[in-house]
Amino acid sequence: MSDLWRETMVAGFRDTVMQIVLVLPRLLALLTFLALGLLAAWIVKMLTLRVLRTFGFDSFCERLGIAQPLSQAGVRQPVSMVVSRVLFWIVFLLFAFMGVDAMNLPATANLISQIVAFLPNVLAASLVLLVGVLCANFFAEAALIAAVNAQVEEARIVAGLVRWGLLLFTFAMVLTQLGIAKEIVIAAFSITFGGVVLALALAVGLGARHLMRGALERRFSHHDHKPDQLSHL
Amino acid sequence: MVTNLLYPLTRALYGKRLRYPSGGAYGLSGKFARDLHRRSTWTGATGKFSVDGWMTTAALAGGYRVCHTFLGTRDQETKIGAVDLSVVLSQTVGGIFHSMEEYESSWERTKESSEVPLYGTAEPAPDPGPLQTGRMVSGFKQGVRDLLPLWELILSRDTLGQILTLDIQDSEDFRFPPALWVQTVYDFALAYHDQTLHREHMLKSLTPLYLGRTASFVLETEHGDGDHVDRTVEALCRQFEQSKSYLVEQWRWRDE
Repeated sequence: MSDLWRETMVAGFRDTVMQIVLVLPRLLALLTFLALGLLAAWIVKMLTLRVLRTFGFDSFCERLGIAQPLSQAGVRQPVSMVVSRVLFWIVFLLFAFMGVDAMNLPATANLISQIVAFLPNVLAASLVLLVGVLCANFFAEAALIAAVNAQVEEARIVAGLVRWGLLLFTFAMVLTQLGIAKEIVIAAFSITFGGVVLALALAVGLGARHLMRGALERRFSHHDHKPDQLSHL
Repeated sequence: MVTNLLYPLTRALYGKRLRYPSGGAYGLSGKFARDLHRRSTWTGATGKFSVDGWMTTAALAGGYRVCHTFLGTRDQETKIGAVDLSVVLSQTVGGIFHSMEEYESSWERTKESSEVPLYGTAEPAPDPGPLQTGRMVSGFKQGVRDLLPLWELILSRDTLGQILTLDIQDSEDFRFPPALWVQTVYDFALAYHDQTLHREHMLKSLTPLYLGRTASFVLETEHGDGDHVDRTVEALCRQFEQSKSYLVEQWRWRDE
């Protein structure tokens, strides 16, 4: 009885030690990847920051209208700092994923390959988001200035509609690109866009039909118009 | 636009008292015509701006001898509306600001202004009739209300602070002081140089401020005779010349 008890104890101890011995190198690999990731991410961050500041990236972003919405959204740091921090986390997360993969856990098998396969979608969505936000700001600013110069009282509402219309369109495209709730996004966007167009058509058709009729008559009726008399000097 | 902006600004920059810098009719010497023809600025960014202003600036900055003559009143068929005004303003003022980049060395060293020869007799301009300043002041008020975030990027803190303290309650007593107008125009020139904003947006956002200054000018001179108007214009021009050191200092500081 005591021999059996001893053998069981020894076997249990030996198995546990073996498992720890097997896991330790993987754990060490994970820690090494994390440390390397921190170092590489910090180098990338500092390099990016220096390069962007050398080329005047912050003033360039101000001209493009990127800095203003970020500031309004509560991001008080310069865009160069935001970009370098994003790059820091991307590099660090890449190293962290390598470390997790090195652990060889069943739950995280093929993690890296799945992330790498999804990266093109993320990059395309980021590009769409950037262009969309830039366009929304640019056209909203143009609409605001044009409406103020035309002394339209609701100038800010007009600019807001332009901005949010373009941003909604952009978000719908980004979500579609990422494959998140694709059908719902397309359906919601179609319903919203169709609703707006229908509302505008009804508003013009019912509310301003006399105005439109007058405008169209003025535009297309040229009965009294005499052609110019052209002659050489 | 000529009285409150183009004439005083061109005079302060290039030192020649050319009353109508964008006169609309020109006589060029063969040498100057060849010089203009050789330039590559007929297309590109310069091509978008007023050709009139560009030729005048090229002559003044290039050291050509300039004179002006009165050819009589020219009727214009269409009246400029509020929206068209911003387009005209962005083209003419944009042309001057754009030329400032090209002729930096010329306007920076010009200190004073001198008369240019005048030929012919000046005819009095036809009476434009009563000018409605109420709409101009309301345009300015709306600019203050809606364009403030853009002006914060363009104007210096001091200039914007003074604009915000202008009394806009009573349209009849509204005043936009010449010194503040000069500072505003120079801040816009500096912002154009810095490319703080999209340049066309920036130039068009000047429209409400210009309306404010024009309304103030009309209200200041409406009960005076021609001499009073001339004195007011001359005082504005001298203000532009006196404050030019601010423009030069800020411009150089930004280039360093």
